[in-house]
Amino acid sequence: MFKTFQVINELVNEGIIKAYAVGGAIAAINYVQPFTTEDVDVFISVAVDSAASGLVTLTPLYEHLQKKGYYPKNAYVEIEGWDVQFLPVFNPLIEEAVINASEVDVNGVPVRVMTAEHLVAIMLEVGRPKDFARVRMFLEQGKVNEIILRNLIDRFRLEEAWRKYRLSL
Amino acid sequence: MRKYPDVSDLFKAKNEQRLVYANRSFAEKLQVVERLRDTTRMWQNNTGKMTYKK
Repeated sequence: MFKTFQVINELVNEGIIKAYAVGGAIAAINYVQPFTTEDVDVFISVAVDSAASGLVTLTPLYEHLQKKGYYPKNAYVEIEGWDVQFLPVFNPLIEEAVINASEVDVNGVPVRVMTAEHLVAIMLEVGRPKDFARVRMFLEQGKVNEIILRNLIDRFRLEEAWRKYRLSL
Repeated sequence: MRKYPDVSDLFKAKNEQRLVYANRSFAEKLQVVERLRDTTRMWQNNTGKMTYKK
């Protein structure tokens, strides 16, 4: 998978995306026991087409990847054997998670991965049963700084999501 | 009342094993993920061989 990350790093170096952070299951696996997943979620900051519509467009990214031989497949782009889903930052929590991502070494390749606390906050926000199951893994395996998590819950108004999680136990 | 064996040690051991896996490096864990994915695809294809679903 490190080749996939190499290609993603190149996108930053080439100015196609401003910044990225790996989220979702792959990021979770940086902290907790490995489990099966089929894709890589990559949250990205891209330049907004402010001169025209003000909309975020992924067209330049997709075109650039196609030139390199990586083609779209449904919602994904297959890069070095992995289905990668590029998701533009779509709320303040995700934006902060991308900015504060930490760099992790994978076979000599630096990979930006969301922090454990941001991942848990995002999982609480999304709130599917599998997200709550992962939150539980993080907490049971002692991978979260509870003060930082509490701060995120307060600032991003996730109290109700936290209450739902506690009720699901 | 029927007596059941105490399996708390087994669960404790399983939890400890999970932590051992959790504390491995990201690179090592990603290798495990790749193997899990390949095995899943093998069974999805129902071929008995490591062939990829397209």
